[in-house]
Amino acid sequence: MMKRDQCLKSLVERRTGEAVVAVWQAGVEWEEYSKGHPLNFTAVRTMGECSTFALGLALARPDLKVIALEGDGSLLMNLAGLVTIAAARPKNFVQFIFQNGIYETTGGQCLPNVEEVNFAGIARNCGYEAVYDLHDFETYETELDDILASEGPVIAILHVEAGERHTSAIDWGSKVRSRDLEVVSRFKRALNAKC
Amino acid sequence: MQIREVPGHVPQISKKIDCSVLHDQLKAAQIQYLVTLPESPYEELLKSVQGDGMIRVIQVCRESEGIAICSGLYYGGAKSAWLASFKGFYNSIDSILGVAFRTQSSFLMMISEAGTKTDSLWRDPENGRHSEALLKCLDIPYCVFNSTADLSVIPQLVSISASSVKPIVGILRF
Repeated sequence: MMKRDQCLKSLVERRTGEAVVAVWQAGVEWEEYSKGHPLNFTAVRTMGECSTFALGLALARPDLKVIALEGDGSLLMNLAGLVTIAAARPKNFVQFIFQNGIYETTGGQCLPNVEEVNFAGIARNCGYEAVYDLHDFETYETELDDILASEGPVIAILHVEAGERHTSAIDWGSKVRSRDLEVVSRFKRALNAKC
Repeated sequence: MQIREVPGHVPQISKKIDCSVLHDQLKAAQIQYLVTLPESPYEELLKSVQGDGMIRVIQVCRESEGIAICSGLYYGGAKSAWLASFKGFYNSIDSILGVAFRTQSSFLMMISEAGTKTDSLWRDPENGRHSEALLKCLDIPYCVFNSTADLSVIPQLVSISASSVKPIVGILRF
């Protein structure tokens, strides 16, 4: 089993010019480790819509690799999005799912029946071009360059424990949501500059 | 999006709104993507758009996904329109607030609303009579298209949406 923050720190090191759309705990950690990179976007606040927002961006900007980072709870809120993404066939789209089996932000409540769910199998059967199902950090490190280089849509299911905690649910409003406007402006400027 | 001929299917063709004119107005507004969940009142439009190939159709499994896709398209510099039934609008409200509003995204939303106040179905609790009240509540500007002549404002609606960086709605009363 891996730690989410381990995976994110490693992804930060391998990042080149990709836009990264990250939500909830993954978004908070991602911002922390990638030091407010201008191509980070963490302002999507509807569970299940991180990857569909990223899909739209990827379709409109085929010159730009787009990465979506979200948890298994978020994925379950819009499992049908896997079908939508596979049908749209964005070649420049990579999706990382952090599967820890819990709603971490709200206090660690378990997801329903998640031990039985095979997200990688579902994604494969939806028609993703490349599917990775990774349980340990060494394999993740080995596969990461391939994940980022593969033609999309790509999905990597990362079986993780909870990562380092950067904010509590109580702090969410003041520490996270209040930064959304700044993130929105920064991301728009960065995308325009990269045209 | 693939469309197959279904034996015995009778296409629903509106007498009030000409879908070829609607298609032309979307092109005049420089819409590049039509994000939709298919419904019978606008099947004629979808066939027309698919056949023309100037606008790419992105088919979704649930309408709320389309709100996020249109927001992402906006960030990528593309003009898009979302097209769904009034029930699709109802199930998209969380995405409108949590994605489109939160990310300050601009796109055209087209809500297909069956029936008018004179129809017997108007009082049906699942009919579209709640759309206008909800749009007012959400502070989303909208126009009602009751006839083909009303469609000419679509390019203007798209411009208003772009300058106000929020979605704008056209209610289609087929």
